[in-house]
Amino acid sequence: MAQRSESDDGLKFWRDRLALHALEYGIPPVANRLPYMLGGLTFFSFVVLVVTGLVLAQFYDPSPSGAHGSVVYVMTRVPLGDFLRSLHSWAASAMAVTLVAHLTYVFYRRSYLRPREGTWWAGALMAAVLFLLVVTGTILRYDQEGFEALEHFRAGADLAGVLGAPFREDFTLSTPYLARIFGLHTSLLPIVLAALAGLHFWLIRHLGIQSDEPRTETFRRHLRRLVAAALFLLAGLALLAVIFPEELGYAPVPGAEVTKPFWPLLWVYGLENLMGLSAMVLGPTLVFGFLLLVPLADRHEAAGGVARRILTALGLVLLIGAVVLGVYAAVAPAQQHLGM
Amino acid sequence: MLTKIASAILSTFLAARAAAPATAHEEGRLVLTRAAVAPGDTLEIQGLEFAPGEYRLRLRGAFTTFDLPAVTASSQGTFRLAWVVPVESQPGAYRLVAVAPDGDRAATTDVTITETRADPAGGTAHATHAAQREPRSEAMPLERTRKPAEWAVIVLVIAVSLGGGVLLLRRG
Repeated sequence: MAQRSESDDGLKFWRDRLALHALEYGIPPVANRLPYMLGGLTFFSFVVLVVTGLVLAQFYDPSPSGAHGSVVYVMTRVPLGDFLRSLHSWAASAMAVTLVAHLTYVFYRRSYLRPREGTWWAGALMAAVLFLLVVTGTILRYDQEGFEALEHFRAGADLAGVLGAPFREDFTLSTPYLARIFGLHTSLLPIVLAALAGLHFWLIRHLGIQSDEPRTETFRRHLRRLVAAALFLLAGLALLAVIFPEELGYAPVPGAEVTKPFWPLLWVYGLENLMGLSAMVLGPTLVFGFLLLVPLADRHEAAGGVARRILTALGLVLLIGAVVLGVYAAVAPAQQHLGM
Repeated sequence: MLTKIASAILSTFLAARAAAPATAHEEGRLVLTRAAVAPGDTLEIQGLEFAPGEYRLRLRGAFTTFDLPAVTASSQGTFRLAWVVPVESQPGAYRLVAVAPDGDRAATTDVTITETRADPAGGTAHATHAAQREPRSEAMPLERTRKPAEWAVIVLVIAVSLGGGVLLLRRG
């Protein structure tokens, strides 16, 4: 008779008490392929961002007078502060990469078709929230780049009209603008994101992923592989954080524009070079508007429909356009956008 | 019986609170005649609604903290101070903090030190260091050293992540 090991008993203990048997449901084996794990890796990057962000927030002073100095303090005096800040930045980069790859693959596979429109919309809204998290995170640096991002954010809130009203500086004068943006970055946006992620996961659990394969694999085994991939990602991010630590610019000089934004925002910067400041609202509206319209525009199962072809072409134009704009912004000299 | 005990505890607690001195945390107000001053200007500070006593004033910037002369709040809770902003101070955003004798913050307000100051003749005079405050896009050179214990934690994080990943994959 086979002897039960202590680790098996330990696992059973937790399996019973945490109801882990609920993870035993069936999924298609294709889910274990890397392209299907991109969403999970995006979520894992977000978890790394939350954990490192919680530590960084303990030392951050969200006042205009103290913000930049507190970041310097984190980088030079807080034990592991420099490493955690770099890890935070690299996790944001990883999240941007995995998110775009995930969206592109899901779009390519048309996984937004009935009945998964809600899953897609929750994901598209999450992408928009993540975009705002990148913007607000850049501002919190409060160096020259951060200050210029703040000025853009201020201008963007004005340009957005009624929708931008809660984000305008004169919404309240009782709190510094920077402190409100800190609140956005550390509370409101993560809470909204967590709620959307909950909805996204709920829908994936109950509607499943789009695949014709029989559900012969268990989610528990898939989760094990996903966590393994996430741990490899963490090791890679930690290595990058050590080899290429995140820098910080000098204390800001108001009224100047001499820097370029964090790379996931470069495409907007490139568009601003061409179209002026209004592009900072127009560009994201176009991209996220397109994402929200996708399930409405392509509603038929047949793969060769006209709507499908137009949608694919538009998606390609947007993706390639964003890449081209990003490269152009990276190589072009810094330009003045505000007050132009 | 229980009600009597509870009310006795509550009244003792309330009496103790009433007898205790008020904590100094953010109790007063700092009023400035001008919130933006240039190096060499006089910053006029008025304190209102403070508990009587002595307070230290500090002007905190990103890299510099100035200790201003101590002030004493009168029985009406007010004080006044005129302080000349050092000519060597860096322009930028600062926070003026009044610190109570127990070390707690009693009040804060924001102060901006500007590059230039109004010239009495009506023109604009550049502060001596204005040329040093050009906007810069490059990274700051910072001393970013790690202690051996920090390196050990980082290596441990990487090793545990890699080892855990391999272990999970092998368990299939």
